[in-house]
Amino acid sequence: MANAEISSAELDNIIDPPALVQGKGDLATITETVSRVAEHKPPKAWYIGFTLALGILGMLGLAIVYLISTGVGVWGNNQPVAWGWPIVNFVFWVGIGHAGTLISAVLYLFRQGWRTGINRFSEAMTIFAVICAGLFPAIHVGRIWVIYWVFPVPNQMAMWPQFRSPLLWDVFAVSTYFTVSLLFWYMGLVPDLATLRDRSKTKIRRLMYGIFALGWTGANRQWHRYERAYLLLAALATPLVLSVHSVVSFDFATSQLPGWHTTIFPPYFVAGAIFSGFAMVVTLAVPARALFGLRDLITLRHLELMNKVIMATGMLVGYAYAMEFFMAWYSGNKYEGFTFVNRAFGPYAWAYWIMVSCNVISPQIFWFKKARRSIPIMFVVSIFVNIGMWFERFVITVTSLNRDFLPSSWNYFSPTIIDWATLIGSFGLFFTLFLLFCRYLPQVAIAEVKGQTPHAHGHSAH
Amino acid sequence: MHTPEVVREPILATDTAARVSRVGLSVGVLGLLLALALGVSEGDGMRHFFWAYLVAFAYVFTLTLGGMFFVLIQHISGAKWSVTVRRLGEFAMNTVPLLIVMALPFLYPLFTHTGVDEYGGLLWPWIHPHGEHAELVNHKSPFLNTPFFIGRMVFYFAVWMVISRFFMKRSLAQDTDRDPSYPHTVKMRKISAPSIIAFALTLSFAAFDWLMSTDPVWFSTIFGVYIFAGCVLAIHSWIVLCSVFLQKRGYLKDMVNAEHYHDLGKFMLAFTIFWAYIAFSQFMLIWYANIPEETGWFQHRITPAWKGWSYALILTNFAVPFFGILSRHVKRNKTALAFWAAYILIVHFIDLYWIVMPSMDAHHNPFGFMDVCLVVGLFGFFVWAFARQATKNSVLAYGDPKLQDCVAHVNY
Amino acid sequence: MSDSKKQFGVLAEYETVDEILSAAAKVRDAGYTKWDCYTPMPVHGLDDAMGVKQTRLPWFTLCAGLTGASLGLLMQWWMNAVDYPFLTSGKPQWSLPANIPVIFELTILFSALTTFFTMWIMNNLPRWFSPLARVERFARATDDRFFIAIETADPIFNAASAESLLKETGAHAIEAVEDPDESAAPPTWFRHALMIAGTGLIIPLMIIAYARFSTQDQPRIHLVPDMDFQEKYKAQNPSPLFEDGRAARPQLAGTFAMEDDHLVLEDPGYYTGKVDGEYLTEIPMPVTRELLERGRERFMINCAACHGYDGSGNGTVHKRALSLQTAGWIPPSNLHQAYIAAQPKGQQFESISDGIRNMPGYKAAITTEDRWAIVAYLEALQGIEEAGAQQLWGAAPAVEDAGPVDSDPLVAKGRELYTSKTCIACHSLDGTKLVSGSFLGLAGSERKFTDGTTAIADEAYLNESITNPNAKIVEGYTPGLMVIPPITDEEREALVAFIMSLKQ
Repeated sequence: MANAEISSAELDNIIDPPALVQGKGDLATITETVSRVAEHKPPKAWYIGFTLALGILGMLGLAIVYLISTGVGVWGNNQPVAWGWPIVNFVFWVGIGHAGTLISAVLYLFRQGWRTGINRFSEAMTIFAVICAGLFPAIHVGRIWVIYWVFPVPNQMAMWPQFRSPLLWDVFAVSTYFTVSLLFWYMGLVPDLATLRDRSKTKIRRLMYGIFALGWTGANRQWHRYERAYLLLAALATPLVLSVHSVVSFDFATSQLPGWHTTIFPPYFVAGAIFSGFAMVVTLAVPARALFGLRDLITLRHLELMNKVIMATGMLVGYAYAMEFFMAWYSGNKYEGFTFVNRAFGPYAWAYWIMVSCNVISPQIFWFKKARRSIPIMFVVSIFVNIGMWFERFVITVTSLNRDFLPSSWNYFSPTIIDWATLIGSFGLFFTLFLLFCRYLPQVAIAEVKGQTPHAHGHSAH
Repeated sequence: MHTPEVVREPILATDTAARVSRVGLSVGVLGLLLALALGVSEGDGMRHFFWAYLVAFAYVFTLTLGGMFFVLIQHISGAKWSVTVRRLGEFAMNTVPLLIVMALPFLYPLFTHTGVDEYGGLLWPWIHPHGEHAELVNHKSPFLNTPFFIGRMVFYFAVWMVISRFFMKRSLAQDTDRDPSYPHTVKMRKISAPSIIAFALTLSFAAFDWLMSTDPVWFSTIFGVYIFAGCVLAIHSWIVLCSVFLQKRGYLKDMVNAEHYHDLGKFMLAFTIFWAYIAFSQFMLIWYANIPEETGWFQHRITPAWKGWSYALILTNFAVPFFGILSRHVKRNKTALAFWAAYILIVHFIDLYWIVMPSMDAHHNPFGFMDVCLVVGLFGFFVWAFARQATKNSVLAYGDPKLQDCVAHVNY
Repeated sequence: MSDSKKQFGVLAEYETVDEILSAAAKVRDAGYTKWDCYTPMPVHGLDDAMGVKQTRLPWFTLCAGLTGASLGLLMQWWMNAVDYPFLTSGKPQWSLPANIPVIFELTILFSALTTFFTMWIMNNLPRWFSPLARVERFARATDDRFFIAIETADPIFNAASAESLLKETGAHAIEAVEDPDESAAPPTWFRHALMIAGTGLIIPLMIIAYARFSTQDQPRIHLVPDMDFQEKYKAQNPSPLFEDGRAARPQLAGTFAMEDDHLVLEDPGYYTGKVDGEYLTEIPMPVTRELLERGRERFMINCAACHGYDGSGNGTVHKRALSLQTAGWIPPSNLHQAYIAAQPKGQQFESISDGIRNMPGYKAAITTEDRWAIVAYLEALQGIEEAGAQQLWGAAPAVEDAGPVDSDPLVAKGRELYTSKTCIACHSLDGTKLVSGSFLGLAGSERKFTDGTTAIADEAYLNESITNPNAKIVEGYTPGLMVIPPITDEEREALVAFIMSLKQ
């Protein structure tokens, strides 16, 4: 039958695994599945995790108090590696944040319906990751009480910030990024908070959710402007997310240091950020969907698609590694050449090869559909990628710096116990915030998921 | 809200395509002959001719490779919106044989000794290293030498031939072979992933080889991405133009609507921004670090002869099209969008000319009638090769499983 | 539905998207304007079914974006190229390529904030109360049900016809909605809490503003000591460590001062500018063109920042200090002044080497030969008075008038003391107000004091003011501001005579 037309649902069976929402999937079930988490006592694992995270956060607090009261000398930063772990951790965390914006804004513009299962969650991750990231430049300035000098506000020295410095661009980029992410996240939350408000049994819950739901009733004239504003914010967040990691890369690339100064840095950093961020989403989503009973909303298909993005961006990062190496030779600049040989075979070769094997080699397993759909494999690979991407920033920062132009100042960088405490502690901060979010806010965008179900689309002509 | 079932039958624009291809061929022959005549009369041993030829070649090459990327990305992402215009991208991609023929004239500057004493050769300066940079260029000779250069060129063409043939054949086969399990779509999707890796590497190195090495001292790791941005911009504009033209002639009437133009327009806007982003990153990092071996390239482009051209680029290739296509109404109006598509195809040439020509002569802008003849001529050949395919094949991939979804899709 | 109670409107419930889409089209066609559909998620096609017009929100976004971009550009230009210009990493003061990232970020920030807030304002949100919230079934509007409400405010509203219309559309339930008498505003306690929180937020801002625009006579509180108090000795500090109680150690017996790897005593004139306590009158080396060029270069690098390129004392540092009205700022000398030109070369050399008044010594920064080169150049620079500025600079520089020649020697001495005793730091001679009032026209003018009395500024008053500045405080000034360097009675007399000579 030449004219046999097949429905798009059947077609999806051929080209893609089916349905974004599994189980019963009617509107009430979606509401119930998501709201239940915020309305009932969490599972025991949550309490254990939260206590643990809180403990690690406490350690971060102690480390920071010690740091500020003593000075940045408590870190391993020293000549020639004056930019040590703080910048590594900063870039790492900012990078993690990028996936959230990518999922919520870029995939929205590309009409990727599957984003609805994971976008709330990853946007929350973005915000908490940016908080963790912002911590490091703030505490590394030494005199944190005059941190307001980085903003263009009149100060007692009658001086203005130096706008030709990429570090200042960072201030603007990261704070804009945080603001816009927060607006975007909160805007998405409003209709869902209204749902929680309308379901709430106690007065206090009704009041709290009610205040933050802003009186949302779901009127269509409001939905109309809401959707347009959502689209506009997505369109604004997309170039923003590109700019943020580009600006972070400028911190390095505007210098003349071999290994830092290369023109591919901006897109390369952006690709790396998305790569690491998606890995973190998988790392978080795998336990969360099991723990909170969200398997029907964050399905294997979501995870598989994310794994594909991980593989693709992993290869973009690999492309950048290759281009850097080629140009280091092609440029004929012997310092550039030396830096790259030193990276691969010098004292930090171990870090370099950890980076390559985690970032370029380990995601290759996702060529196999079986691996893309296997929970244990994807969990392990996502952890590998997280580690690999941390090491990428370590390799860029430390291997480029530790071999100065002056061989007499060559040195080997070693972190101190405080370096470790701040890095691990930042995870405590991240998970504390994240677990609080899981407990009190809808982890999945209820209204948006509903919009992706067949129930949201009319069937008759009008 | 169901749109009526689409009619799955070939849309043949045989007569129109035959006419267009004839026009393309005659423009091509005429342009090339005129340029040749002008080139011979210029008395610099055809040096200007070959440099301008390289620009024109790059113009066609970015369109072809843009088409390849367009097709690959639609398959790899399983895109639905683009099905009705994908065949146009496939036609553009499938002009690789023309590209091969067009590359043959490069053998002359690669092997001749004409002009070596006066200008150090007719085209790529590394063929005959000379002057103050000879030592540095010699360092690169393991990569930049004639046999390896030709070898790489053959390799790129081979890869592109394989990719374009495969996707063209499968797509055409799917039109007639209505297997309900759509093995072709499934297969194309599978192959698109490795293909896009091959595409990325070959495109980058082709850009290094043919364009970046026009200044053998200079290097920029982002250069491949820069050329890629131009490819994507050019192909989306070209598809808009073709599609509007076909609709004017009564084809694809029910198949391409405001929603599709909106999407194409969004990509034009997005890649206008992306181009600016890449161009800015490249410029700003080099300007900021101010390392001699890198800044030379930009120094050559802010001489009195080229300064105006460089500054104009910011306006013509970014500011003007950005505000031009920003509005939703423009993107959904096919006449307006066609205007901007034509505009982008013109400024794309300005960009390529700016990349190549200052490396020939930093102190004199040779832009003239011959440059126009060459780019219009080679573009004419491209149109010929493009349209010739439409004389035999449907301009719609009517066997694609997602055709129905594509016609019915709506933007936010 | 009794008429005694105010009615908000009529509410109809639907179960599926299809139902509400067709119902919305019917209500639209009936000509209602004040009505809305309520859905748990955005429903595509509902805008068309209701006849909702495209929002103008994107225009706000565009305007905000353009505002952000221009502000970003202006801010960076003004702050880095106009108000506080300085050089860094060899970049122009106004570096457009380096300004793009911040311009871009501000464009996005302004657009996003405007989009967000404008959207809520256009939607009339946040709102504390909606009459619909009182309807029990309406809670499902954010769950799984769809509603249409036609409001009584609609000009063509008629309860009976609205209800029958909704019935026709296939509503599963229809209900009249009351408009309770409660005001739409939040409860009093909530408003009070907001007000208290708002006021609380203003307090720190007010404290900052107050601190910024008022003068304190107490030293600031060192919440964080920074490096204000360091355990180190400065030049004239006492130290219990040594017998003589001095922190700075004098030259030890048996040691010899060295300069440039040479013993100073080899050629004391060359190294110190003095031989046996007498200043050299001539530069101890041949003054060649090379030496002058060298001196000019060193002058531009080391001296011009304060003394100005033309030596008139009008350098960048000075201008900025004036614009900031820095209290106690001692201006760099105008090197064209007669008393400086008349100094022996050795004295000028010593001033450069060891510093004078608040000018630090440059011995450590400039080599001996270069210091002599500067002295040589200084002579050439001072010579421009005669040679004509035009010749040297191409255009007339802003050289201050070297001052009138005073016939009275006492006034002439006072004029010199005016500079050397640093009166010049706070009092101008041209009527401009620096830290304190100008000397021009001071003598003979009426002074108004903080205690309400007045007096004519005569010689007695001037004498008293110099000896005891805080005896009478002129209105608008703070006590304790004026610092007097130690001067003799003769010097005071000369100063008073000088000030009296400026009578208008």
